[in-house]
Amino acid sequence: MTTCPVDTDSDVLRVQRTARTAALTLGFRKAEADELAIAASELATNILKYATRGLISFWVVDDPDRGIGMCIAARDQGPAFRDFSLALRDGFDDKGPIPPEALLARRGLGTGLGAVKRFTHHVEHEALDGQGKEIRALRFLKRMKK
Amino acid sequence: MSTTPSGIPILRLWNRLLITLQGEITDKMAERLSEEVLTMIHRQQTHGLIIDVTEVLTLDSHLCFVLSQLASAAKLMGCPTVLSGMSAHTAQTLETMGIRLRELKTSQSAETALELLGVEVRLHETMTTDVLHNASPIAGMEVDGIDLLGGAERWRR
Repeated sequence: MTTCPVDTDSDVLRVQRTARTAALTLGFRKAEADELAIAASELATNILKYATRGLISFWVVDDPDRGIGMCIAARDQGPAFRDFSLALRDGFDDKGPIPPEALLARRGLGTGLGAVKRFTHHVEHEALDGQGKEIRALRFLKRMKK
Repeated sequence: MSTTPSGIPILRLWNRLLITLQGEITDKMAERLSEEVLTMIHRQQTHGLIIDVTEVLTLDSHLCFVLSQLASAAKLMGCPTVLSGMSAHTAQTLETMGIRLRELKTSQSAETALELLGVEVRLHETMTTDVLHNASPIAGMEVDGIDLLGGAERWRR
């Protein structure tokens, strides 16, 4: 659908804008589009912080069971996560709990990926051949049954 | 009001600083803003800082971090911070994101934020021309007259 390069902090704004527009075009409500913009923003900020540069792309998905949805894919050359499910927890990275002083040095709250997880229905991580990784976050138009 | 290199206007009201964040905020803007605000607090005694987020499009965890850092630094300089303009949706979003802003007091509007920071507001009802026109001038003078006389008499004693 659309791809945004992420290299500077104004690119993060473009990612937010693109996510919001794409979500509204797909038929998400405004509040949902705002949440998807935050999820995309978190992924873009992570690229800037830990991999310097990368790409965020937006895709329409059509799942036979879940229907239409939006996929935000974040790809960069940074090291892949050792334990992605651990990193999805608030205050954790892929090695475990993040100590407070490390949080300060990273200039973050340690909740970015946690936010991505909560604002989407499915998040997956793939280590790419050679070097790098891709994180894909999916949200479907239909509300999730809890 | 000073418009600063961050491009975000900072308003000084009764020695409280009011920052209205609007639209899209880049990381650099937020960090420059923090420096500017802290310099202003350092230069001139400031009794409070209000950050209004009503018009912010995307309040992500990074912006939250920068704002809470600003609040912590301001607190160290003796200046409390109130975050105002939390819409129901923003509040829910922050809650969903697991963000707890411990350093920050919050309020629904910039008005209540000023009150929290010790600004006492007394509203004087403005008389419309209509009211003035319909009011009996004699009655008005009598009221004024009694008050004035009373005051004058007290003064004489």
